[in-house]
Parts: sequence; structure tokens; C-alpha cells
Amino acid sequence: MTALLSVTGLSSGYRQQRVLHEIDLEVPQGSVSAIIGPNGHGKSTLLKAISGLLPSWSGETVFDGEAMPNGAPERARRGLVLVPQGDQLFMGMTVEENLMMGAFARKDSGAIKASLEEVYTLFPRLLERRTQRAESLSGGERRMVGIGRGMMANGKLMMIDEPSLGLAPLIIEQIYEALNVLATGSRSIMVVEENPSRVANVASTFHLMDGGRFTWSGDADALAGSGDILKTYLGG
Amino acid sequence: MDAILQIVITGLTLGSMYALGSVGLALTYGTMGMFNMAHGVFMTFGAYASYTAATLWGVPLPFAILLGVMAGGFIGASMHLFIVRFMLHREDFQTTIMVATAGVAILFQDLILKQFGAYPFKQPAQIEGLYRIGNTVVTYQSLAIMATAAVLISAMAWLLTKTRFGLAIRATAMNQDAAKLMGVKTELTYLQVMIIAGTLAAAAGILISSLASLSPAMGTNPLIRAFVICVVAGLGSVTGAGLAAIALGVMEAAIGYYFGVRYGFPVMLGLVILVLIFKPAGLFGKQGVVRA
Amino acid sequence: MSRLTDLQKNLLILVAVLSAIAMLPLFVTQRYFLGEIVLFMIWASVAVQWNVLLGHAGVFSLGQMLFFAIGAYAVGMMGVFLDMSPWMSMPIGAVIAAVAALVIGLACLRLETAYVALLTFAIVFMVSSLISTDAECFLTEGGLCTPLFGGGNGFSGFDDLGFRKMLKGKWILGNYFVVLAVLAVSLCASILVIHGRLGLAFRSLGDSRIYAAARGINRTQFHIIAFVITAFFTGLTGAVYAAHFRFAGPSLFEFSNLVFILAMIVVGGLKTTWGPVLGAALMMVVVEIAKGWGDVQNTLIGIILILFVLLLPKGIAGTGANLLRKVTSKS
Repeated sequence: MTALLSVTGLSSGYRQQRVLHEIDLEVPQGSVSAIIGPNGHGKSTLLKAISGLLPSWSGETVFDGEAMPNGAPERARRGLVLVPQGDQLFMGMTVEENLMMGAFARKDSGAIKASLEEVYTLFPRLLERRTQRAESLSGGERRMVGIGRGMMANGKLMMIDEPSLGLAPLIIEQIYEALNVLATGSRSIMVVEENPSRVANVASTFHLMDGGRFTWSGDADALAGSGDILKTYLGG
Repeated sequence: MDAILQIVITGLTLGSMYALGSVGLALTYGTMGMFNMAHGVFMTFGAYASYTAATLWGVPLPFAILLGVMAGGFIGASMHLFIVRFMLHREDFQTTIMVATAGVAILFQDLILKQFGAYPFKQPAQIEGLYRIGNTVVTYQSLAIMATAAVLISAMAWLLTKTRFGLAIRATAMNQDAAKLMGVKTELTYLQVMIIAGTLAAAAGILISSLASLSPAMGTNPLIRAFVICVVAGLGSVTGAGLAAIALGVMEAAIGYYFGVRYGFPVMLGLVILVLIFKPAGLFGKQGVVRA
Repeated sequence: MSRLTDLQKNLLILVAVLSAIAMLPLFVTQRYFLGEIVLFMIWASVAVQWNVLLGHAGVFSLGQMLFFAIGAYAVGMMGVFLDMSPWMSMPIGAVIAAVAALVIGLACLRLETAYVALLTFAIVFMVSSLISTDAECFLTEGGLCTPLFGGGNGFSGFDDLGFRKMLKGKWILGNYFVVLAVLAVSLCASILVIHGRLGLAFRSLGDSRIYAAARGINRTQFHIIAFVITAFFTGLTGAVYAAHFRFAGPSLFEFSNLVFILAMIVVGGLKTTWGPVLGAALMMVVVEIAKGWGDVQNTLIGIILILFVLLLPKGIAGTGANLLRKVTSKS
């Protein structure tokens, strides 16, 4: 089986500050992988670099058998979808306008409608709020719009950055329930999460990032048996 | 009664020209956070371009006007391609772009001066005739100005709110990174915004010069008005700019009628500053958001 | 050398620069070139003050020529209407400029950067159009009508600094040293502001406005202080301009003057201490050379301004300082 996404020797960062050091990563088709690790070690930077928001300083990103051009819009149009950290909604637009923005690059209006229905089925709450402006939503609802907007793109890979960030425990549970539903389909998903226990049941492959490098990779069983490593990095 | 009618008509004529001059400025600020000091020169450029086409090349008037408007779009595009796009991602963009566009303004103003001289020309786009309501004179010219401005501004409002293209502009204005992640080619959006702004400015320039006349510095006056209008509306608010322009036009006409033309703008500016003391973000304002 | 503080270092440079300018008349004797150096000193002073405001305090004011003009008009009006010597009216002009700055500052400086730029620009335009469209005679003398603010012609031919009587043919040397004195005061003030306690407050505001606010530094208050101080010295410079040229008129408000001085700051280096002086000198030389090519001054200024913003946004002094820092840190 060939990898859906294959990253080799990727380095990137902000201004003069290098954050990622020659990352290699493969994401297989139809799987859920998770990148775990402490905050401030490059997890979000990696997603930004893969999505094209940050320029790659070196290395190659091959997606769906095609070398990716520079620039986020071009990558997004090829089905590489990022649900960014902190949602980044269009605050002056309504919930439904935000969701429809997710399908901006798509032309198939019938299929777009189906996607919208799928989002409303997964998050019935958004249907209730569809005419409200994004700025009037609660944190959890905003997260739902963010994920829903990502679903609307109907991409080949959905990268979700810290879906639990800043939410109350009860809401986090709801969000992860939804992610579980998404994961049971044929979707390919890559999720970034600080706390490995949250993604332990969702993902099949795990990568631990520390200091801008992957220091450990393995599947769910390996994760369960590697308590020591995780403790060292995450403090238990 | 006659006085009031006259004021309203003069005010609406002024206001619709101001509106056309301001919405482009508001749009560029709202989308890119850019204050274009050369916006006034875009107006001058458009006016001279249509004059050149009609008077010097003998192009039929409607096409000459179209050419003038297109020239405005062209200069907006060129400024984006040669200058703005290299500066967009700089940290102090908001201030340095004002400096750079001030350079563009002085450059083009001087080039126009060299080419055409300081002597004021008459803009060929004139419609003769008038009719009276009681003692009030309404020229066809001012009706044409109001109609043109109304059509162009409605077209832009439609573009911004009802089309996919407008959706891209609004999304870029609200959140540039998120827009990119949705597949919006933001670099292209910026270019399109500059073209629209240039086009509207050129149209404003042609209308303004049809009432006054062509001169190299003709853009300064409406530019300052546009500044004040955008400030009252709250920078970046496009509808706000349109409404504020009409209101300020009528106000200026009233002050001009009762106290003399030279006090129209000063009193208006005084009131604006007074408004800002109580509403520092402008009447409609929230920064950096294009709202149609 | 490294024992000296920044403040002391810059004051030493100031003494050197001023002495150099003071010695120039020993080598330059043509009145034309002396006149050009006088003009250089005037623009340098305006540029230095504006840079303090724009580069260091972060106030994007486009109203500096208003304060310059207030100083000039004070000298012109008091000269024509009251027969007052510029020696008396110059300081008065500077004070009026500072008071005007206080009023405008209180009204405008609470607002965001872009609003400040637009409003100050609009205010200057308003004042200049009010002045030049004024045709009501305030004083009629020998059939000559003079409006209160001089109308479109402005004021000219009033009393000078008195050196024409005292030094006869060499009167310009007297003016030269008076302008040099004004430049000295203006530069000294700018150095004290940039490298003193005020500059520290500006830098902390520039780094993080919220942090600065948490430490009790009120942004608006400091902006107004900077606005008033720089307006005072800009007004003083305008006053000495009027005294030297015996002229004050609406042409001072022209957009091209504003852009010319902006170009000096950008070419020299925004946010530096000495950049504007360097920039003023360079721009004066460029404009002087360009006189041989016909009337291309404004075209040239526009092009230079655009090129520098695009290619060398830190200006010559800023880029030079960066290079120097790199070289010294490597060795």
C-alpha cells in the first residue's frame, strides 16, 4: 500500500527560528494517525508546513502521488485539508456561510449539499445555530464549525490541530465522540494532540514529537507498552 | 423649501461622488489593511485617460469613458504587482505602505503635470440641459452623476455579497490564513481588490472632473474627503463609507449654503473629530472587516 | 569608548557634526551654496523631529508641515502687522505650534495609527485651503490688501534677523549661524528624547503595548508629549525659515514638501538617531544634481521613496548599523 502523504526531510520555522528538523513522515491511506508530544515542540508547525501556510525550508511533501507546490490555497485545492488550531473561523459570517466556505474550491453543488447534511447530522447543534454569526458562538460550537468546515472540503486527508484545546472536559468528550464517528468511515485523518490518552482509542499510528523531531513512532499496542517513554516526555 | 431642495440635490450629487471615491479606499483597507495615499492620483489618472482618449485620440465618448475607467483598474493592478505585493507580509506594512503610496502619488502627479501642464482642461463627458422644480435647478449632469454612482456602487455591493468572488474577498478580509486553507488564492484576491479600487477611483475622477475640471492636483480634494468619510464610517466598512459619504455630502452642501462654500469642509472635519472623541472606532466601525 | 552611555556617545557625535557644519563657511564662500546649506539644516531639523515622532514614538502624524507653517506664519504675521523682530517672534511661534499640537493631540491621538495619519493630513489640508481662499482684507496699506492670514500670497518682505544691516554683504553668515543654533537645539532635544527616559517609554510601548500599559505607561499620554515636543521644535524651525527667507505662505503646506521630508527620513533610516540628518544631506545633493536635468525633482523623489521602501526599508543608517553589528559580533 502506498502512503497517502509522504514527507521527507522537511524543515521549517518562523523567521530565523528553525522549529522543524528534517522530519520524515508517512500517512497511509484510510487510517487515523496521531502526533503527540508536549506543547511548543513543533506539532502545530508541522501541520502548518504540510498545509503550506508556512514555507518549507527544505524537504519534500508528496501527497496522493504528487509533489506538492508551494502555497496553502494550491494544496487545499488538491484535498489536503487543515482544521487549524483555535478554529480560525470567519467571525463576521454565519455558521452556514462558514461551512460553505469550507466547500469554496468545490464545484459539485449536489455533493456539497450532501456534505452539509452530513455535518448537520454529526453536529445537530450547528443546524440550530446555522444563521448565527460565528462570533456569537461558544468555544465548543466554534470547534464544531471548524471541524465541520474541514469536512465540507471533502478532502483526501484531514489534519486536525488540537481539537481539545481550551475546551471544558465534557465538551472535549463530545468532540472526540464526533471524531470517532468520522474515523470509522474511510477517511484519512491526522490529529495533533498533546495528551496521548485522548487519542489512544481513535488513532492506529502514533508519532511522538520532541524538539522538532520525531523521537518515537508506533502503533496502539506499542503505545500501551511504552509507558516509560511517554512518561519521560509528557510527565505521565 | 427651495433652499432645502437645492441643498439636498447639491448634497446628493457631492455625496454620490464622494461615495464612489471612498468605497474603493474602504475596500482596500478592509481587505489588506492598506491605506492607499495614491487613491486620489488614481482618480486623476482615470480622468486624464478618458480626456486623452476622447479629445486627443478622437475615441467616441462612451468608449473613452470606458477606457478611462479601465486605466484606473490598470494602474491599481500595476501598483499591486510592482510594489504592494512585495510589502504585504512585512511587519510594519500598515505604515510603510502609506509611505510607499505617497511616493507613487507624488510621482504620478508630477508625471501628469509634465505631460499635460498645470492648465485646467474641460472634461468632455458633459450632458447639457436642466429642468426646474419650482425655483430649484436640477442639471442633467448631476442626475447622470447620481445615477452612475448608484449603479456602480450597487454593482460592487452585489459583487461583494452575492458572488463567489465577493465571498473570497470577505473571507480574506476576515481571516487571511483561514481563507488560504479553504483554497482561496489570497494573492489573487488582493490583486482583484486593487483593480476594483482603481476602477472605482477612476470612475469617481471622471465624474468629479465633469463638474469641476481636469488638473494634476484634482485628486487631492476628493482624497481628503474620502479619508474623512472612511474615518467616520470606521475604516474598512464599505457600506458605512457609502452611507457616510452621502450624509457628509448633504451636510457640506448645507453648511456651504448657509455659511459659504469655504466653510463646508472645515465644519465637516470639526464634526468628524467630535464624533471620534465619542466613538473612536467610527460610526460603523470594527477594524479590518469588509462588511457589505 | 564602551564606558560611555548611548546618550553620551550621541552627544559627542552631535558636537562633532555641529563643529563640522560650523567650519564649512571657511571652505564654502559662494552665497548660493551657503544658502543651500542653510536650507539643508532647516529640512534636517524638521526631518529629525518627524523621525522622533514617526520612528521612535510611533505616532503616524502627517501634520508636521502644519507646525512648521505655524512657526513661519507667526514670524510673518507679527513682522507685517506688528513690526516685530523675528528675534522676538520666533520663540512665540514655537510656543504657538506646541499649543496647537496639544489641542490636536488631545483630539486625535487616542485613535489607531491609520486614523491619526488621515486626520492629521486632513487638518493640514483644511488649514491650508482656509488660508489660501481667504480674500477678506485685514490690513489695507497703499492699496495693498493683506488678509489676516496672508491669503494666497502669504507674507513677505518683513524684518529679517538684522544681519543685512550689521554684516552687509556677508549677512548670510549671520543667518547661517542662527539656523545652525536652531538645528543644534533641535538635534540635542531629539537625542535627549530618543536616548533618555522618554525613549525608553517609547521602546516599551513599541515592544508590547499591553505590557507597557500593565506597567502604568499610558500610550496616549506619551504620544501627546512626543507630539507637543516635536511640534515645538518643528515650529521653531519654521520660524527661523521665515526669518531667513522673509517669507511665509501657503506653499509651505504643499504635498511635495511633505513627501520630500518623508523621503529624507526613509533614505536616511527611520527609527535611527542620525539617519534623517544623513538623508537630508543626501536628498539635498540629489535634488541639486537633478537640477541639471530639468524639472524632475518630484518625479525623482517619488521614485527614490518607492525604491527605498521596497529595497532598503531600514534606510542607509539603519542598514549600515545592522552590518556593523554583524561584523563586530563575528570578530
